[in-house]
Amino acid sequence: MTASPMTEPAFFVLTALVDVPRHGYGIVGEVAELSEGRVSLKIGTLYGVLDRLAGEDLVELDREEPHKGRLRRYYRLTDRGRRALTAEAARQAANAKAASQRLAAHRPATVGGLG
Amino acid sequence: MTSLLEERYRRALRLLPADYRRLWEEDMVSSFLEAAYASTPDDPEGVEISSPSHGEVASIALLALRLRLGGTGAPPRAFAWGEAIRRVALICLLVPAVESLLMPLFMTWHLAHLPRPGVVEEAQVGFASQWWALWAMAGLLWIPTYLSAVFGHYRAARIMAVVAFIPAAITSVVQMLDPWNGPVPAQAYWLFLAAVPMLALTAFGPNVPRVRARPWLVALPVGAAVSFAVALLTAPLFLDNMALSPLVDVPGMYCAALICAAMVHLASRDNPSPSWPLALALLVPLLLGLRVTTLLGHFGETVVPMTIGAVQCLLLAATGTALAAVAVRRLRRLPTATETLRAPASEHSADGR
Repeated sequence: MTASPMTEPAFFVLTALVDVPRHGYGIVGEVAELSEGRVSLKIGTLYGVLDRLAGEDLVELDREEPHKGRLRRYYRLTDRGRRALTAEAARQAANAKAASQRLAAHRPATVGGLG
Repeated sequence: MTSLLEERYRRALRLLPADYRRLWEEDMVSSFLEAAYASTPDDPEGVEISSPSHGEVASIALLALRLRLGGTGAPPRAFAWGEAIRRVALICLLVPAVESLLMPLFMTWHLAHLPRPGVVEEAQVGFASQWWALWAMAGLLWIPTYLSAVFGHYRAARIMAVVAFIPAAITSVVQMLDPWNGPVPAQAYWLFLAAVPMLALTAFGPNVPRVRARPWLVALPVGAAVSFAVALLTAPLFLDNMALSPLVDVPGMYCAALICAAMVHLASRDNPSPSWPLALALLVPLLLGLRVTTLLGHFGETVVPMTIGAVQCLLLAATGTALAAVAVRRLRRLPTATETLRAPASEHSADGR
């Protein structure tokens, strides 16, 4: 579990690593796709998040591969990271459900109420 | 062969601590270049001679700031620096919060003690006076800003600090344009001081430990009560002899408060952490600048105010030196970043470039 509430970039980085290990730029692209372009990670932000997640044992190095004369590092989710993401997703889903129920119960008359 | 873009990006990365760069630089460069070429696939030559965007550089600068002003899990020295800056932020928010609490106290006291005015002139209750009343009320924003920071609502504190800063900034600029309001350097310095809490609040990033609220909450009413009492006691001195004003004006009071706090801290041996002496030492140059710029208004007067100001500056400098010496000694006892950094490092990362 993380010590503090999970930030949105951290949430998306962990989500991007659920299916396969990814390298830095791969994570940036996957996060943009997952968030439908809403979250566009700068490289400085990404590595700040990766550093924190690695420090909390939520992600780890999977492998290194040469690519166009450079080494690409691939990161993967740890078991602890998977559990943290599961808990955070459940928390967000519960919050969303509570808000949706409350909104449905108190629908203003002006919002489609006369149809 | 490295491109101009890579060189420029690596130059920006120098903002990051060396230990961090050793672990992450190659991967950051690799990811950055991939993103840069992918964003403009039709013009790789153009990419090679381009510069990192302002957004990229800003993200590195923010990361550097967060790493150097560490939160929970950061290397001990970075954590101590972070704690010191966070205390500076809280102190810089506490001061205007106390001052805005003092305002209604002074107004009540004045109403009780000053002779009752006769019929108030019509012009005095027009738009201007209402506007000024509203303007003065804007200072009260510092109280929720301070409380938000104390209770851990840092985002709210940052937003409110910006909102509270705007009237302070406008007032300072207006006063700077008015030659009757003292020397421009002093007004400019007050403006800078009003911006310090906003800047220092950047040290409250994710992973910062919760502030121990109780002492900071107690500090607000106690600070207001002490300031009120001191102001009442020293007001006659100020009114009777204007030459003594540097002793009891606001910068003079700040100097006295800081020197007292430093003496109490240096006399106590309970806390071996470097954060408090560091925080107080960081406040010394801020106050020294304020004292010097506000003294400029006394140029050409008698020798008394300048002598008082010079003594205050000397005392501040001596206090700052003592605090810095204690802080450095305590910082040196902490382990270095290399012993504590964590990262999914590999054998390749240690090679550097």
